[in-house]
Amino acid sequence: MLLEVRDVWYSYPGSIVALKGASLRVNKGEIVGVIGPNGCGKTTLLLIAAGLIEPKRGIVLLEGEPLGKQLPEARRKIGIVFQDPDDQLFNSTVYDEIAYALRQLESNGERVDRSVREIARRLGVVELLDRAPYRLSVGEKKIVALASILVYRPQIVLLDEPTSNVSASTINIIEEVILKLKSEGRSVVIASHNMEFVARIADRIYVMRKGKTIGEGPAREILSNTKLLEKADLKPPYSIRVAELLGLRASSVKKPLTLEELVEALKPLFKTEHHN
Amino acid sequence: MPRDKSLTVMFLEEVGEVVEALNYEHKNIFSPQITIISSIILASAASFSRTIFSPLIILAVSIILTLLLKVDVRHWVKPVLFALFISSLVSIPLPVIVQGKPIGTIGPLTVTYEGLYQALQLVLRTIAASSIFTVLVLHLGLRGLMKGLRNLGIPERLVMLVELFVKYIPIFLRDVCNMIVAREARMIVRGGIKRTWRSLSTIVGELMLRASQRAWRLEMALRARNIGVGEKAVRVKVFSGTWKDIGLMALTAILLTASLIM
Ligand SMILES: Nc1ncnc2c1ncn2[C@@H]1O[C@H](COP(=O)(O)OP(=O)(O)O)[C@@H](O)[C@H]1O
Ligand SMILES: [Mg+2]
Repeated sequence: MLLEVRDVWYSYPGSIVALKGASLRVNKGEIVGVIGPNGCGKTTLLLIAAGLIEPKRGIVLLEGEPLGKQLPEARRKIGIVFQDPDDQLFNSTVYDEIAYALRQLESNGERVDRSVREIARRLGVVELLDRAPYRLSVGEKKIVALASILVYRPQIVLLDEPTSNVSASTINIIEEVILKLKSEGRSVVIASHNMEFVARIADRIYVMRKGKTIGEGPAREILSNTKLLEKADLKPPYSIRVAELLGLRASSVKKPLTLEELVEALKPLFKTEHHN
Repeated sequence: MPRDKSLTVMFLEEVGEVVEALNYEHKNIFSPQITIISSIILASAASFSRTIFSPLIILAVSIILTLLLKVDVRHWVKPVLFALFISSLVSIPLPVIVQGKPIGTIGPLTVTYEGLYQALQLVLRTIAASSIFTVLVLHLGLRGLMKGLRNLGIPERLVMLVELFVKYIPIFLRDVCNMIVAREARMIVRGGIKRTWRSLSTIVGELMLRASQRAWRLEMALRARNIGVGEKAVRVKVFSGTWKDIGLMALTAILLTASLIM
């Protein structure tokens, strides 16, 4: 187990309890989704997992040891990308933004420069390097925020609502980046209520409701568990809903998580109709 | 439709830009800690001098330094102009309220030589102090400033606080500008200064709330990416001993002595 958040509780000052028994486990090379309605505590859970706020109850373990004891050094291993990039971007140019963390580790300017340009090229933001982050579009800001974390190669990357307020092409870039991280053996946690996105890439999913983890399991199992999702005010991804409406339950062995899988499941259906 | 920015928004944006200039990377010529100490000593020497000569010299030195150190003149000039504006405002009554040798009258008021001298001195002291401080700190940049503070043995928490402060001001001012612009966009009648003030007063409460939330998240974002802390606990000697440092220290000593004896 790389990272484990075990039954944590948290309340903001002067506010209701934000977390009351939330858990999360992340293995190496795994993409984990955390889903739930607005205000259910996803963001708070990520902040705790990153060691940025301390739970009132419960514990966070990184590689089996309490995270609190490994700070601040452990920050190198856990990167977090905030939902609102404006909260995260505080440098005067995109270049400085991406270089910010590296410059603390590396006094060799050339090596910093090489890493910055490499990650900028990978995420397609090379032409933004001289711009001021706050003048970018939301999608560009999100990519820059992502780059500013990936540049120091954390083992675990926590993404808070990576697809909110961005266009389809940006979502594609983010998706590619996440899959690449996985292929490198790094782990990604995605807090989101974008069911289609989570269905496409998550291996395992946690369902949250009112600060509590109410379900956990392989993506396909969780996303087709309509009852569980309903409790969290969520609906299965469209592909599963279409399949269920068409009564494909018995005909397909597995529930279609993506459009492509849905097409596959529908193919035999069309064939029979055609022959009749 | 493009609309002129209001004066308030323009002013706030300018202030934000100057603080933001601290983020620019410079190659520090002097050791950061000596630069910090020098800027404090020189700014104090300028502010507390009793003549107009040492502020004049310090002002001249700061202008030369601005050119030598290739500090962006636009960023240097803004705080200095601001200091000039404020100190002029404050010193306006001085020529007529200070007792002394009369040199002329404005209506029922008598302008004195001593009053004029004091007004000039106040203005000079203020702009000389802000000028030398601005040029040295701008040259240092935020990174150098933090490094210098660390090397001087300032606790890490306080250094972080300085960083948060510098990073936060432009962001905060941008928030304020955005809110003002949003308010003004909803004002159907073209507003004067009274209207602007009214719109400012309505945003204060909301601003405070937003500001504290923003500061909280910014602090977390900073902490999340402050990955070098802990490893860099090497304490560098305050004095690194290059001839440039010796030059800056000598300059500081000379200017300080000059302002003490003049
Ligand atoms: N900074 C904060 N101060 C006070 N209450 C907060 C703060 N952030 C979140 N909350 C509250 O905590 C609860 C959980 O919020 P959050 O973790 O942001 O949920 P989610 O990310 O799932 O939308 C919500 O009720 C929210 O209003
Ligand atoms: Mg959230």
